[in-house]
Amino acid sequence: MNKEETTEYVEIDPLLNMPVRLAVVSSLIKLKQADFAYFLKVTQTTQGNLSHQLKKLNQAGYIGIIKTYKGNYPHTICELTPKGLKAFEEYVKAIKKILYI
Amino acid sequence: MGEEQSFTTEQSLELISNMISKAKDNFRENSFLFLLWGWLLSAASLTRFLLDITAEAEYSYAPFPIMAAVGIVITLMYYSKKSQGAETHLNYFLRKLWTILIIGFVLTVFISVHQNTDPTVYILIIEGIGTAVSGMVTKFTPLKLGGCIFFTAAVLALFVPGEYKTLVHGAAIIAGFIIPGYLLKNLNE
Repeated sequence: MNKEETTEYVEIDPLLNMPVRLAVVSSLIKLKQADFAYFLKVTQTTQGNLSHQLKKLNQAGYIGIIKTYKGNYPHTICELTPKGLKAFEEYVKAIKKILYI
Repeated sequence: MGEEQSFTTEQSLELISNMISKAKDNFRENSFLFLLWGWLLSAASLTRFLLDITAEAEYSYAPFPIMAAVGIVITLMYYSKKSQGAETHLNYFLRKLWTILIIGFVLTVFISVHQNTDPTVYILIIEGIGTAVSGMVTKFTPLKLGGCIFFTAAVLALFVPGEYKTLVHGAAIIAGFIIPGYLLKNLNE
């Protein structure tokens, strides 16, 4: 069985298999919490796209979003949920299987 | 990063590793807080000692609550001005630990003043707990040693005459907060 054939049998979470979403969840593995500006900096994506991807992760229950104010400006803070942590662990397990690691 | 395109497994592993390495612990930034509290508390100790050996001994406890209030205000301003961005689990733990210890510190001073007893020994133990735990979780040896110095100083303070307890406290602060604080700060450069 070659590598390409194996990938067909390993299920990869489609929600995490997108660069911005995976970047957000990977960052939150090490972080207790991070704000919108931090993710904008590390993902180097647009505000609109980041906002859209965070909403998707939040709807899936992978991250929690806390909306507060910092001075007069809205401040969005994200935290990883236990469901998000489990999904990330499964994702890493799946890609390791594909890569024979 | 673009919109919703998926990517290869190799790319995803690389991305995970890259994101985790970007989310580094910034514990070294905390040198400011060790130095702030180090200088404030050592100044409080020295002032109290000077008041103890003069006629103003009745109010000699005053430098501690005053310096603690100054420290709390500056610490709160530091956290509010600091762009939060991201906080690691380690820094979150340390922030909560020291918040609780500061509450314990304030209560200890308040209760001791109320009971007309000397708080030095208990304060040294509180400072020793915070410093030793900070050193252990960050694996920073000067803070671990600082914690040991605080505990030793707490025992030593039991056996020295009243007004000299604060000098023992001041010396412990220099060894436990100020020296490790400068070593941390130098690691930044």
